[in-house]
Amino acid sequence: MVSILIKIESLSHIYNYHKKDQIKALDNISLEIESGDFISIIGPNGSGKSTLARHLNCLLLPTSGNIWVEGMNTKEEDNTWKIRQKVGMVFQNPDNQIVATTVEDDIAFGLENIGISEKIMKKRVDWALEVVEMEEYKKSEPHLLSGGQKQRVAIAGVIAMHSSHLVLDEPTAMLDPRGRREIIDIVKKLNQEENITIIYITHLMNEAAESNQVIALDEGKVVLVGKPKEIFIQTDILKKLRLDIPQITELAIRLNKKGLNISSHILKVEEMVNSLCLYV
Amino acid sequence: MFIRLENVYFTYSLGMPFETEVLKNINLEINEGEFIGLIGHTGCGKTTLIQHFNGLLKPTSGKVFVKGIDINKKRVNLKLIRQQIGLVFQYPENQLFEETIYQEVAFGPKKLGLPGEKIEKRVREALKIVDLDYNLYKERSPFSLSGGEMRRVALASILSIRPKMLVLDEPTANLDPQGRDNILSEIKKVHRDFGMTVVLISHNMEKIAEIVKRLLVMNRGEIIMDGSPQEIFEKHANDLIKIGLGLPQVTECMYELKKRGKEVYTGVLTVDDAEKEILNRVKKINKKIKI
Repeated sequence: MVSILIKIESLSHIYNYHKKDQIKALDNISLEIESGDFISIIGPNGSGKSTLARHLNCLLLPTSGNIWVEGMNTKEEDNTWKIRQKVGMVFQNPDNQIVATTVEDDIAFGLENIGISEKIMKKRVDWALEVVEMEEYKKSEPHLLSGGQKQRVAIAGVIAMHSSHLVLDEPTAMLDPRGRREIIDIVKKLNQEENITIIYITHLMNEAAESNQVIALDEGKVVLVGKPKEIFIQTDILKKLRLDIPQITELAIRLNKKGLNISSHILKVEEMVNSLCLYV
Repeated sequence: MFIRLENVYFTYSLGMPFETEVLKNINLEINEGEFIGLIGHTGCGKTTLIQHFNGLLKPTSGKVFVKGIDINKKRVNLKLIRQQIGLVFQYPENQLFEETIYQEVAFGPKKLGLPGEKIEKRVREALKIVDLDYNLYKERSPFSLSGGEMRRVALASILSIRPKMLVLDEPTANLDPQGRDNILSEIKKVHRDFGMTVVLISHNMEKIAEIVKRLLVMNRGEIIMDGSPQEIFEKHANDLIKIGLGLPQVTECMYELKKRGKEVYTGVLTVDDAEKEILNRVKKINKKIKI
């Protein structure tokens, strides 16, 4: 039986609730996220992606509705720290997340705060560095690392806390192609090898294509839920949401229309090359 | 010729323990009216290079000429150079500071000492280019805008100086696809309508391949490729991957087909190109089968 990690029930969030200029960021969202899953959340700027993410570890509380993380309601103050330890967050800008002067101190920061003994702390730091493949930078100064490496340090800091679930809010937005690849690879590894639940926010469709399940938001509402293959052929809706369709999927759809026997469900270059090999 | 760099070297923290050579022997000519893309992974020296264009950084050795003037000589009026070459930095929205959008965009022209009515004309013109309605936006605070809009205001405040050349450092980073397309179409517009010379730094291979006419590729402080996007993606795909840059997905697809012995043209950059190339190939092969 799969266990339900996060249950969201009729969640709405209104910014400036007690003021005149109210903004409804989330509008009656209900969702269930299973433990160990890899979910991506897509949607244009202002669709509520980050607001939703911030509800998952009590950075924001619902204006109405409820969220349970492993059965704990986020509204109850006693649960806040327990939930934050289980659900780790990685944000967009790597520079804003670094607090210490060496990589190992940075990763140990959270552990120190919860009073972990030095012996265990060392073990956990080493383990986390190994998972994100940054062992050789243990003693480095964070500001000398590349963007992708900094984000990997941020991820290591979270998993060192033994968080079993990771929310990443556009973690590659500020990275170059190599850095993007690094982060995607590490995230997939965390999911597959360490069985960490991934909730990945992005507006890059080729990144969303790596997940098991895609949730599309628009104006605070869930507009699509499904496997990447099911979502990406709904080109009309995606265009309406002002999202990109991956070049390769668009090409597949066009060739399919021209009568070539090529599935319009293609998401990756490799699949396209395999199908085209029969033709050209 | 607009800009010429001659044997430019640049070293940060010269003579210090952290001394790093960031630019090595850069020789570059940029002509008036060109639309150039500059790519390379983080830390390769792109940003350092463009800061040499208008004298924000001075080369450790080598020379920079703008319209034939060696800009690092004594008594050169750098203010005049900087009026001609507008630099839009990364995350330019962080540089907004005025109370209203009007004041923000008017800041440059005011500093140029233009009279009031001319300033207003410039503000109207700049806001029009970035597609923000003058009457709706002029009194609003720049800080009440969305990320994409803030960036357009930042762009407008450079355009109001009416530079001859616009240099943009990752102007679309962090924007969603719509915000990105807005900015790019505005940049294309100033290039097309005003003949402005444009240098655009980007990590988005698919977009840059589609819009620029000349591409410069940097690696470890050197310009290692200079040519049309078709040429570069066709001939040097392998090297681009090696230095950590991606290819547009359709280019990668053609490249993989070629690796498997298929005779396809790999200089395709857009879905349109790829569709045409594949359909042509299919037609050719089917003819052979019929014979």
